[in-house]
Amino acid sequence: MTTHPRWPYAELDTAAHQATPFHQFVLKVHGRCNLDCSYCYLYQGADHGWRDRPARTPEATMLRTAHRIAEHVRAHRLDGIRVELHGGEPLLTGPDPVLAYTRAVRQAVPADCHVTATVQTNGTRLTAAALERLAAAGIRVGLSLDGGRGAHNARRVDRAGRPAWPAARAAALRLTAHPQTYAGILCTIDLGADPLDVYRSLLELGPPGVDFLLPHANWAHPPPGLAPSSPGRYRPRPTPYGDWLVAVFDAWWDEGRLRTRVRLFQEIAALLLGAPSGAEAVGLSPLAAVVVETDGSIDQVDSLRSAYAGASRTGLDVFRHSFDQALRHPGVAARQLGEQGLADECRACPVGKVCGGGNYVHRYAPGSGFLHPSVYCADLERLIRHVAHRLNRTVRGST
Amino acid sequence: MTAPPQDTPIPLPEIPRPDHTDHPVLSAILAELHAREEQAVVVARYEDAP
Repeated sequence: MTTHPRWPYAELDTAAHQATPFHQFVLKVHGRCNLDCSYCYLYQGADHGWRDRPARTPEATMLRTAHRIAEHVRAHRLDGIRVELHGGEPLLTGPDPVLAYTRAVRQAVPADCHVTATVQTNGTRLTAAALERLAAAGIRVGLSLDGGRGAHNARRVDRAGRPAWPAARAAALRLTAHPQTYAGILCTIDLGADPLDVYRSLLELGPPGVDFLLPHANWAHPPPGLAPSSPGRYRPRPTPYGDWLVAVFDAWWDEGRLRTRVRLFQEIAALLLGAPSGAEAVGLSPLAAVVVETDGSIDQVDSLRSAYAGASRTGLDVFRHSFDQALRHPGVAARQLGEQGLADECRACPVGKVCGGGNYVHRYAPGSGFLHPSVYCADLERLIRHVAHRLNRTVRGST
Repeated sequence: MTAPPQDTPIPLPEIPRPDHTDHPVLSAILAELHAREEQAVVVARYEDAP
């Protein structure tokens, strides 16, 4: 039985919450992975719940999930949704389960609802044949890579310790020949890697977009490079992740042309220009994503598992519950509150409306929960102020 | 580098959104923001998906 923290479970009244419908459905195809990455928050972290779930989603669960998604689309008259085929490694047994799941959703939703489907893969099982079939089905492919060199991906190995890099690189090069299918690269930041080397080597893989992800961490388990402390907004505080990202930002901003989209930087710039954010890493927009596990459980996003065992569980499933019921769950509601869901320090912070408290999971402290600044608070401020400075100079006429 | 030693509440600059720009990266950002204005609601997307 999971013991949830006070915020939001004991302290958030969801009765008056005006929910934003789910627009993004993360569908687990496989619950296992062929890699054994040393930093994986799913398989190396506090939550071992994956062991209790089926290794693969049965067809009946896929069909039931598709039915529930269609029910949600009709109830809220959604004209577009995103479906993210995920895992584990979603291509573990080839593309057939991914194709089947996507087909089930597309056949179930109303004809006027556009379904954008993407599979997020480590690339090792993305053969040329698999890519052709995914492309033909209109399913985009995103890669998880920590840079464009073997050394950047030294932590991404299989259970025998063999590097995933050669196969992943081959997958990236195949994708460059399918630009309509190539969704981009997600790169987890490693302070041990030179930021400019990571950035430039990723460009060589031709991604249309890249996102740099802060490693999942919290106040109980801070990331490499940050010392443990109790939650709070501390200054001065080292900003190694902020500095790393600033280096990449300057290279990206000064490139002279758009080589690739970088989501984190673009969202910060959007916020600074007065627009809402489209990413959970910054800003105050409601998170409208939900996960369906291989057993049909309706879960919150996986990243919560980095906080404590059972953190993502809602107790709901597609066989007995609707997605509307999931919207009422305190963990889901807490991520749709905007400024009301921030700690006092964040609401008083001069960069709070841009930072938005950072990624929700990075605010966690045992017992009290998620109503704290991010463990990356100072890093986020470092990056945001730097982007603001560069953007302001550009807008006002000097670079 | 470390964040500033004094935690004085220095506000962020107010940056007006330009109608157009010669800066290629900013131009791409502005184009995406323009497209985003068509959306009824802007939601935060899950970061472990591109």
